[in-house]
Amino acid sequence: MALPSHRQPIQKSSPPRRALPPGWSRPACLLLAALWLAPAAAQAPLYEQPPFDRITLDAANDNLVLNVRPIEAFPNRKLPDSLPKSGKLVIERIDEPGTTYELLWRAIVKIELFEQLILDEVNGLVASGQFDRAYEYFLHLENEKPDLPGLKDAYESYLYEEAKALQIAGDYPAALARLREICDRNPQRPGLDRALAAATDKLVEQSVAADQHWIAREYLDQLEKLYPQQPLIASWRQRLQEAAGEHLAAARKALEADKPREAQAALRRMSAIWPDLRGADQVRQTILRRYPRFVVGVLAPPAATSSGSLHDWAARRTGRLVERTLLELAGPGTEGGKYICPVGEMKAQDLGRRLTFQLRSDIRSAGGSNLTGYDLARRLLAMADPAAPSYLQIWADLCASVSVENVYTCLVQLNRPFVLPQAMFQTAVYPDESGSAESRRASVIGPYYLESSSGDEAVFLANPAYFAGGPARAKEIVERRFRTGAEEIRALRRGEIDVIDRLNPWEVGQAREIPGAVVRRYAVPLVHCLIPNPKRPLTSRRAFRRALVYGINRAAILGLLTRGAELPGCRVVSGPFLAGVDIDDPLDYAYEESIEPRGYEPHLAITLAEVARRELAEARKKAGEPAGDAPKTVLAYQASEAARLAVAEIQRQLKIVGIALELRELGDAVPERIPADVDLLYAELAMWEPIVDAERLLGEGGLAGEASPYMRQALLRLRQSVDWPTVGRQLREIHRLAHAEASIIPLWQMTDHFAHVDRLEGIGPSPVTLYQDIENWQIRPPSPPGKP
Amino acid sequence: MMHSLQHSLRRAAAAMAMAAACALSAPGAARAQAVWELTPYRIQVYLAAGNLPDLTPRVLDDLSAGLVDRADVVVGAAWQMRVAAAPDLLHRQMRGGLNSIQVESLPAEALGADKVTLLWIAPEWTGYRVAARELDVATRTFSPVVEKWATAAALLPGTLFAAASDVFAPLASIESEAGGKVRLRLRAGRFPARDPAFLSVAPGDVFRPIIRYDDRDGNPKRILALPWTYFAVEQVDQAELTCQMYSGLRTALAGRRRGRVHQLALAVKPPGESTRLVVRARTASKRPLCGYDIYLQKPGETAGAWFGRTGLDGSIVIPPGEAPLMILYVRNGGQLLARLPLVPGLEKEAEAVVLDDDQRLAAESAVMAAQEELVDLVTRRAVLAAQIRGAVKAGDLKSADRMLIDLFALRTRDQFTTQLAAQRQRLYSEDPIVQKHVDKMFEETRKLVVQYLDPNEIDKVSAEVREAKAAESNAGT
Repeated sequence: MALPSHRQPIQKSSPPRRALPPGWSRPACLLLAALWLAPAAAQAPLYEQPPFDRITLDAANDNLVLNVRPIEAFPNRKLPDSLPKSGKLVIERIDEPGTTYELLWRAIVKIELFEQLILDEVNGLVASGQFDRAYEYFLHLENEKPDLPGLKDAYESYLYEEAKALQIAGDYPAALARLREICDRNPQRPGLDRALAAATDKLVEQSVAADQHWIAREYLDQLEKLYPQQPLIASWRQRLQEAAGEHLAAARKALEADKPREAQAALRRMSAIWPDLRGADQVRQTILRRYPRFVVGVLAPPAATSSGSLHDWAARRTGRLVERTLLELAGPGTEGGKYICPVGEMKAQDLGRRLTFQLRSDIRSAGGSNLTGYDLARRLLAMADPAAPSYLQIWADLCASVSVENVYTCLVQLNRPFVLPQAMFQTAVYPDESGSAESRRASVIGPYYLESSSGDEAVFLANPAYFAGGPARAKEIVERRFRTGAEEIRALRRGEIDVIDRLNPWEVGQAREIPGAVVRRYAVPLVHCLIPNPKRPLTSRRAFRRALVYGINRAAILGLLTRGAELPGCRVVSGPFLAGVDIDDPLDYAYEESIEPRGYEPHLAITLAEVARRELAEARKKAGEPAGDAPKTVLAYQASEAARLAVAEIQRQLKIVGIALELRELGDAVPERIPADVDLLYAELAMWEPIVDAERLLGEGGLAGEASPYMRQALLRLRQSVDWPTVGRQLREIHRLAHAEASIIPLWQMTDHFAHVDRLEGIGPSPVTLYQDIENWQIRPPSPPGKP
Repeated sequence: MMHSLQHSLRRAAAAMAMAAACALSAPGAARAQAVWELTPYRIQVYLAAGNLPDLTPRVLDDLSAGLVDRADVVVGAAWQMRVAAAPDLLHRQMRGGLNSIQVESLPAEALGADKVTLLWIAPEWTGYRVAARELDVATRTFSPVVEKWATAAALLPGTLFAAASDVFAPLASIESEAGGKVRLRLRAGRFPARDPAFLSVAPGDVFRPIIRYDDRDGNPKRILALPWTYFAVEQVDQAELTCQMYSGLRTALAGRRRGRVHQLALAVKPPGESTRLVVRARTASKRPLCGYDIYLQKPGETAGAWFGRTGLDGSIVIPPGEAPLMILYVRNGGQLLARLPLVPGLEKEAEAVVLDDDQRLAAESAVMAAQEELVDLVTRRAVLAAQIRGAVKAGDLKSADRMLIDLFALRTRDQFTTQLAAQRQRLYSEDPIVQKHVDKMFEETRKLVVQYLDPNEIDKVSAEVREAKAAESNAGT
């Protein structure tokens, strides 16, 4: 690549050439030159200054040093081995542009090209320990003059010197990085293996101290690839194996003492240090056989258990562990969801006006009670009782009578047929529903019951009376809480956990790279939104709610969450319903595609927010209340990394449009409804069956706790709909209305992913919730040696 | 079997004589009033009992006599009570339950009285159950059945009188109505009760207006109980009652005074039960209106409290409240559709026929959404126009051009009005009043669109950009 000085045009109308006047040899000229050079050096790095070459004259010319415009006499700017002895060189001094001089070749002692001057400068910087500045010089030279003689050696020396300095400063990862770069360039450099071993030693030591043995092993593996004979490798590996061996011995001892849980814990510790320790597989097999147990990493611990929760991820997840619902969503079907009845069979008769539930006769609770038609009838009647927590308006309208035909048969007469009655029955069933915690525990019919919950760990033990699943199913499920997704991923990598329940969207790619792990997508996405409190002064105003929609750059935040990755099903939405993952997704029957999500229009947001504030001031004046300041808007969210990131960005963006948000992190318990002192609630909604969920979200008993008369009317019409076309039309009308009045602030739809060790089988390719097939979870035995 | 006490007859005769004297000395209307107020109720009581060995005919005779005695002692001249055993046919019907008794079931002579009271004694495990029901002959209106219990035969006289008193509904004539205040004249109102504790009418009591149209012979041709209309007694001055009228009708009492028309008001005895209110559309379909808000308000209160919403069948159950009369407000989306006074339990089911407001509400929703879209659009246009002008001023004509394209891409007035018209067509109501309301809302919105989406505004901005570009190219040449 040509140096920049070569690109300078040569003036055609240059003044006549003349010889250097004798006066140039005077020291005054030197001083002038020095004065000219000094400020330039201080102001900008040499490579950014106008290029020049340096000529040193002989003693007869007082060893005068001249900075001249780049000399064009040398092809490819390569200096000859020896300078010509006769003739003249035409030069143009850098400080006298436009004036050319002729120099006798014999008067020239030395010529230093600009590139060389830079190289000299950078060597000086390296020697004085100014590595950052030196790096900029090298960057310039690598780009502009990669074949400059001496550059390669200079750069290597720079890397080595910097690695040395970093090692002394204790920054071992950086030192190792520099040394590896040298190794890539010149693996034969003397002393490099010792330097690499020294840095690796420190890093392995640190990793072991931080209980990150897999990183330590990784460092040693990398060193081995470069210098297999390095004695440090064998030394550390022996130490690690010895440490792992102690845990293996502890595991064996625990097994002998018939303490499989302790044995498994010791084995996990061993696996974290040295997973392939000789003899470990045998112990692992014995433990798996005697006490199958899975550890699941979670970000949100369960504060409650409810399989049918609309907006509580943890409650939905854990609900499937401890309870079975009358009907369960198994995944998307041809019309709405596909449901199974785990406790028996549901039949619709009389053109859908009569439902018969035939319960299995072998369903017993942990306390030994049988689940009967009477229990079911009680549950179904409670669902129609406005005072009961399980009340469902749509069911109350539909249910005409409930009767018990025989012990295990329950009949339900409906007021009219309903397109998808199954969707209403995602309600847990128990043999008896007395209030005490003891009796509730005894009435569990789910596969597991909560044994203990302390600190960051909840332990679920297998319910021995459970009606489904064979004897080989896991004896124990442990949910271990992590503060960050990165910690979870590290734990999975280290073998401390078997499953990550929910990956942060930006960590999906990272999890896919974990060796021996599989990342899968959940079957149905969630709708993320802000739920406005209709009883608060500002969020009760439609103009303000629209301002919020226009003031949030939702596409940008979604991009931030996914780090720009294209995850299927992730998109900005215009309403409260699922837009589906692909074009054939049957669960998108409520989404009105013709409504485009509102765009990011900050100017409009500013205007609408101001309109809302004025409306409020006007209303206060009318009511005779003091005007006061515009109230602060409180946004509450459940503590999770993704939510924290999203709301912080929302706060930042809304600040730009003049809407000040106060963020409030909620505890682990997700509120049933938006708290009274909160204006906006960040929610992740499982709108998996809109025909039922629309009411649960937008109705008066819904999350917001209030509905506009228009929304009430639309929901009523939905309840009256008796066929799929009408249901679809009505739901799309609700979508249109929710969009118009901004009943919720729709953000985006997000597909969630989970990860598990690849030896875990039976989890299903794409479950709705993590434990959907918990009865089938099995650990595949490791392959015999030599086979894949 | 007939019992009357000599002294009560004497007293009644004296009262009648006095009333007649007053009537003769007063002018026509006043005379009639005086007679009305001084005319006691002729009460024909039919007493019957189930198969009870201890209630022999003699015992029943004694009970009858005791009842008349007690009426005389407690009420006095206002009641002329005659007690008779129920004839066989009536007895059989009474055995089937007093609720099943019709006017036609009663002996013809009974209708010569002012009130017919049926008393039925039935055996119970713990004693006796006494059921009572009264017919007001003038208005042909039965009272609800009242039941009382006596633990011993000795308590039966008192229980029988208590039951007869409870079903007794005083009758009044409507004197005048002005500004919602109604003056009533109480039948036998000039006869104070002997026992001051026996108040036939007190403030807070409720009367129901009943219009009786007579034929030439003075027989009832038609009797009309005014729907959704009640009088709440505010003041009692002997026979004169001042009441507040509560009515769901606009002109409840207008034009009913001509000819042989009697405007009467019968006291209402709240039975303490619920009424199922069904709200229906007033159109031909009479479809049930679901999801309509019901507010309840006590008489005298200024604000009602939200009570509930009609279900999918348009119904809602109104339970008895503290006060006998309640004012129901039927609303939909904030729009008041009806104001209906109701005494819960008086009827098992009441039907309120109101405007079918659903289309109005749907139209309001659509219009509101359209108006908000208009606000957004107008703001967008204003912001873009300002930005374009700013860019022109700063000489950044490229940006101005780009933003001008955005400005032209915004929805136009014609597009907006076409969409509005399409929405308007979808919202049709059979009820002309609702349709008129819907049309008005859309028309007002259309006018706003025409006013605020003036295409000239965009043309003006476009012209400014053109001029700036022309000026720039002139300067360049």
